[in-house]
Amino acid sequence: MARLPYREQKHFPMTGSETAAKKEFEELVLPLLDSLYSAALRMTRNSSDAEDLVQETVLLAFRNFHQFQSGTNIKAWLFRILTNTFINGYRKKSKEPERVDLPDVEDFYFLSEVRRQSESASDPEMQVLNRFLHEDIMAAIDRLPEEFRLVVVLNAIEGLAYQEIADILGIPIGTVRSRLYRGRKLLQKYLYEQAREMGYVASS
Amino acid sequence: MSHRVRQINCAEAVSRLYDYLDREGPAASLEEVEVHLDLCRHCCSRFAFEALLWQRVREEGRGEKCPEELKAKVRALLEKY
Repeated sequence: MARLPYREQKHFPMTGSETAAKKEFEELVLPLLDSLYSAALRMTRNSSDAEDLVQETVLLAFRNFHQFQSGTNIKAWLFRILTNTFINGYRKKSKEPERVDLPDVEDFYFLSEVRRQSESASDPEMQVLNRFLHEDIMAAIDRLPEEFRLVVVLNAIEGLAYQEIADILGIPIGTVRSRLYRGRKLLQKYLYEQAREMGYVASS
Repeated sequence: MSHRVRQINCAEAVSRLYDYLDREGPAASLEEVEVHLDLCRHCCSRFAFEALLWQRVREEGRGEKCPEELKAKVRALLEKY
């Protein structure tokens, strides 16, 4: 697996304030590594690229830490670096056969379909939801085309605000809202299909 | 302060489903959805399931742990500086 090049830096003796900055950086960033890694994994869809992406993100963040405004949202700042690094460096590697015709999905698709398939049980949708394994849900997310996957990861999983996502992706907030709407409906369809495939819902 | 909240129908409420779940958009708009959900059992149950579905997606999506080797690599990278 090809690694993206890191610019090697020489070692300079650190001044006191640099040591303090580094300590501050570590205190802010290291606790977010799980979060960065899980988002990187959903973006790249493989652990080797995800590991490279996380390392590169942390390095870039460290080099640009002086631009981070203390007291603002460190998570949004890191996710901006993560997302841009992904878009600029990793996306080209995986030529995705995307932009195939995406289906139109109704609101509450998952709920309606599960109920349609199982008239008898009470709360069949909860039974199906509870049968999902971690892998089932990840597989459904990974099927999302990238433009929808990114907003779903940033909002529905990582909880960033629409405006924060708009800033990260450099798109209008209305575009974030519509991609998220579309992405969430598509994900419901993929989840339902996963449930069918795994036998959590009877196939008619 | 009590004030009248405009009543909205199911279609309007559903069109704001994700704004409502994400707490996005104007507070007055979310309040209209809130009031609709108090009055409409059908929407209330659909919204409740949708909230649970996305809660599960969020929990699972955040469930991946950064491998210990990667944490060590990141620490080592920072050490070099």
